[in-house]
Amino acid sequence: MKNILRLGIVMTIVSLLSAFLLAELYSITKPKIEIQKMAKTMEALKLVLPDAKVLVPVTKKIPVKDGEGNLLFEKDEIIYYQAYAKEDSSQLVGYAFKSVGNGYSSLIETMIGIDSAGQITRIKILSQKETPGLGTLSEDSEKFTGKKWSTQQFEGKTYEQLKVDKDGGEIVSITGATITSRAITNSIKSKLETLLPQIGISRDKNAEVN
Amino acid sequence: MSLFAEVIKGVYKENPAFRLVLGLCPTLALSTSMSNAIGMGLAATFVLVCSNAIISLLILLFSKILSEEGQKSINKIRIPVFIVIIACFVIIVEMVMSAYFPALSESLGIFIPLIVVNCIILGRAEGFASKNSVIPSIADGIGMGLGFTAALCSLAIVREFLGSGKVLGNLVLGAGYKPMLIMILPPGAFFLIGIYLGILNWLDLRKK
Repeated sequence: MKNILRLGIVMTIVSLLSAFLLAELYSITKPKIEIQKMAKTMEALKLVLPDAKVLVPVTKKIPVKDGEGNLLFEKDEIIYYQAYAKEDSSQLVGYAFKSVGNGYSSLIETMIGIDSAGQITRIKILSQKETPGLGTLSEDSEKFTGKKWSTQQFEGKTYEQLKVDKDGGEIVSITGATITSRAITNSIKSKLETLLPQIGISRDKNAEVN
Repeated sequence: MSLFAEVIKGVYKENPAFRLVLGLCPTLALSTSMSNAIGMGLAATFVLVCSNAIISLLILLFSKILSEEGQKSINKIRIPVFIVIIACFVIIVEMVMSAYFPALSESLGIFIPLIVVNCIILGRAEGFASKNSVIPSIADGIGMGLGFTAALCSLAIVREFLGSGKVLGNLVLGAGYKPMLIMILPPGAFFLIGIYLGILNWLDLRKK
């Protein structure tokens, strides 16, 4: 009995001290980590929508339920950003949003900017862990020459045009990494499919104009 | 053994990756580039030094306040206690890294939290820190950490150079060089570590 008590006390003290130390450090680093994440998102937003001065996030309430289906609370989730050219939030220039696609060996997160007509302005790969030297080339953003994959090739593309060359489309895929190219292209496409009606841009009209 | 010898021992004679052949998973996975290797090496060194110091301190404390019988019973929970202490330092590294070095923390990914189960660290806690006093334990931690970092770097410099034509992230071989991709893929790590172990064993045999 005395033995068990002794073991319990030692374990409790060690755990308590560790927990206290971590809690203290967490409260110091938490805001810094948040800022770093925000800065990364802001940088990507600026890149995909160069004309934007003000970005307004549009959120949706996501219900969080417990195991029995009772509503616990509603969480705000950003679905897309509205971009304005003027600082007083007038003159809409476009929208920006994130898409996530299942690549060859990782989830690929992409930030996409579209103008008010639904054409893509720019895209940026936010995170991926694909095969080094093959899938990782998806981050290339050099000037697009028409032969090699570059994220710049998405400029001006519309919903209808998002299809890789292997599937009969126009997007030049990465040599040796078709799955990666397809994952990115299709994730943008499916995101546009749900988002365009929400924003109020018709997909069909959009195709006709181009 | 002098403290200096304790440090040096970890770098060459008892190098954790090449001699003790411990912690090979991060060694193989994170030697794709020098920045990954240095980041992982230093993170592991920090955890090693801190956990070695605290564990040897704890053992010293118990030997002062507990009876012989008490120490024996405490011995039963030494592994959970070690793991809690190691995990605590690993989370410290993880939080500090993602707050101040976000790029590095992203490229090291899951391998930082996995330091908790890195056998080098538990191995040194069990094999050295719990049997020696505080200062030699710290020296051992520094030595083992440096040895691990050196092993990672020696693999990374070759893999990065051949596999992407870069040294420390700077392109040195020019754009015309076609990278030997296999070197930064997992097989390259196996080839290279095999060659290194072979060379080290050959050197040992020649000495005898």
